[in-house]
Amino acid sequence: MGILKLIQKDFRAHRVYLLYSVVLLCAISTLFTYLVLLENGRTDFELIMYFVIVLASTSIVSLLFIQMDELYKTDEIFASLPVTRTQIIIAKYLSSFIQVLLALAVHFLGIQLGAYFHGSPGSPQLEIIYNPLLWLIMGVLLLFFKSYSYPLYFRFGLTIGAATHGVIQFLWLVILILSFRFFNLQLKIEQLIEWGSGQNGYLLLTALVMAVVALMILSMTLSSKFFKHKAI
Amino acid sequence: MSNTLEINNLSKSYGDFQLDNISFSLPTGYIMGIIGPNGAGKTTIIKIIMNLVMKDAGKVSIFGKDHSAHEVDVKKRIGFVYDTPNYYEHLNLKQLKNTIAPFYENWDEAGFNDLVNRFNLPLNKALKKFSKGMAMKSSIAIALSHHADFIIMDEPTSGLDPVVRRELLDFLRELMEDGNKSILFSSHITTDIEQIADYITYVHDGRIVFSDTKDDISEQYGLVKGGNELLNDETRKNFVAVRSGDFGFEGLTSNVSGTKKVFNDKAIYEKASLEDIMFFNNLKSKVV
Repeated sequence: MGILKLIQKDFRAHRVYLLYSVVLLCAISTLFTYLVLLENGRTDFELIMYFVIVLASTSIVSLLFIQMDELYKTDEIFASLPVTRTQIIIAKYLSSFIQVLLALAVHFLGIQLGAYFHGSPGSPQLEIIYNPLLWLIMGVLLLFFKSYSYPLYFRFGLTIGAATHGVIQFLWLVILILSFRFFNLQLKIEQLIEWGSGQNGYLLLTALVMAVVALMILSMTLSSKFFKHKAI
Repeated sequence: MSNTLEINNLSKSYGDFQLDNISFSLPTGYIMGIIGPNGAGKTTIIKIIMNLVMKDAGKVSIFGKDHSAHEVDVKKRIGFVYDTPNYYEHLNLKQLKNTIAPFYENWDEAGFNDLVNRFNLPLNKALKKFSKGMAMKSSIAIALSHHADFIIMDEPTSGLDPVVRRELLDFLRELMEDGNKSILFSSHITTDIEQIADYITYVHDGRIVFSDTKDDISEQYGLVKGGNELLNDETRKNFVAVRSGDFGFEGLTSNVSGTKKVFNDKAIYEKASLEDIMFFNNLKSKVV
């Protein structure tokens, strides 16, 4: 019950900021889709840009509750409530998970709005964006990023944690660009999507979900270990 | 008489600061003041009690239960007030209450509203616009609205104007009327502690100098004033610390009756205030 109350506390206390971030995410996707359709082109570069924007913006927005606690130094207040530190960590992870789902849904909605405003909702240029596997991969990637960034936040605080996370993400980006340039990653991704589409959807989904859950549990355990010994 | 709080052999090291073998207890139904200069370790002790800082060694029991093993049960019965209450400043008091109240099964909405009215707090004003006094009163209203049996306050009166301080102290006295609550209250404003505390624990440089009833401390400690000719290596041993000038000396003794036997009527004896006790103990640590 303590975990649920902590999650409710975060959503209740920051609902206005959450609303702002939802509007912002929706606007990003709407604008992007509208402009792509307006230019009558869907280059691969634009698509990659879009997914990088989705990943980055969702990552940042899903940190909202941790940012607020860091900004107002409210950790000490909530740690003095009748909850354990492990419950605080689990609640932060679950809140973040809900925010990721919400952000991806909002981005998806933004695409629909962009296409609607342009007057071409069924445009074949957007076909790849409608592939649910792509969104699943983005969700998995986001949770993968969180699995190593959250222990950093809970160990070193948001400033140092975010800086370290930023460096790691930058390295990922460099690796991604180099992979596209030298290892034909684009083709491999397309092959992966094609392969995934040919597999048993439920089985693939179950395997992915289990892998993510295992990763998040490992990450939560590590964060909890750090946070338990942290002087607040 | 049962104890609400028992601390035994508590130790904690933080770089160059160390809490060393702290032990004291607070009987149910009483107010204990923790005094000591800034940096003495008062806040660290309170944070360890609240499990916000992990102890290196020792035992902390609240309501007879280990504070860490029974953290949730124990915290349900504690009302905690920070020296600087940090809340989400974009919220107002009503919204803040709505985020905190669900954590307490016995949250008393009517009691909270009574306190809000009593402290004259605005429910719909953003917390960022609250003065220090209003923020502290809000913190107290929230801490006391779930019928806590043990109230812990870290420097609640620092930064408050005299009127608000007086109101707060009166309120704490009222709270104690039912005899089942206990209060642990840290402050470096010794006059506040002298007004309301039944027990006093004095912490200096991470060590307990004393932890006793106010009456016993009052009987035990005294100020002695006299001419410099009375001071020599032997008579100095009667004092915690002594300061002397052209017009004579002034010293703090922790054994008034013994010192009277040494100086008889050649010296003047006065009651020592908590401020005197802190001042001379600080002087002693500088000399040592």
